[in-house]
Amino acid sequence: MSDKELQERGGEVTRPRAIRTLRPHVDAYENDDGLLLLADLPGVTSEDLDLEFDNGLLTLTGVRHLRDDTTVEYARRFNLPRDLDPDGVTARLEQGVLRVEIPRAEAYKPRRIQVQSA
Amino acid sequence: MLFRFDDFDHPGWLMNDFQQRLQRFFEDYGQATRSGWSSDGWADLEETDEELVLRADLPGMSEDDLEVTLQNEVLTLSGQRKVGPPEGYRAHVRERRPYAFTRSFALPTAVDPEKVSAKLDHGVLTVRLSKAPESRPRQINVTAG
Repeated sequence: MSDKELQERGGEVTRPRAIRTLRPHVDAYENDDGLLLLADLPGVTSEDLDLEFDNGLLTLTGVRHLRDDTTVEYARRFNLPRDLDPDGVTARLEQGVLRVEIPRAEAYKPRRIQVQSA
Repeated sequence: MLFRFDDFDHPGWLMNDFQQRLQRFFEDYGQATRSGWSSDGWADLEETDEELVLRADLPGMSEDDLEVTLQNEVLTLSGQRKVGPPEGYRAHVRERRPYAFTRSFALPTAVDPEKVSAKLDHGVLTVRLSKAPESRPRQINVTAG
């Protein structure tokens, strides 16, 4: 049945909304305390953002609703080094940039060792 | 052997190790790989009966980094985005680009220069320009002869 026929019979024509998936640009920085990720996610609000950590993989998914009812999905996945502590992840969205901080596990932080004199 | 002392001649040895571990940092992610990168500097001009709406993706820019001017029906955006390691951080992967830009848009219709608004929200700039009355569509009454 064509769309027109369907409408004439009182049916509703719905189409799946167009979804494009894009890779956002990401920076990764490191210091002694851990890793900092910055991702450009213009137009994504925190309600439409999902960060998931599973089995060493950090998955970032953000959905952006455009005015013409289409949707763009930003997606990226990262292998985290083992010395990071995923339980301590914090994330913040600011001016369309996601900032994710992942602390280094305590056991891996550099530490100063006292040398005792005899 | 617990230490090799020559390692200490290379202050970067710890970091090299970290970079090795980051080699597989980006995991290819299904559809994303096929659909390509998000683009920098995307902008779009929409026209409705009452207004012109310009939208531009400017993630990481604040109001202070941006200038919007309107002159002779030309709208000009200029701005600068700085990116770089925050104080005390070392960079491993840098895909986000710094940029400085000036871009002008010749407006398709006359606008009321007193009714222009610009707003930055979640890294997206929206400039709304109200059309001058003479540029709006008007209904013409048809009278019977």
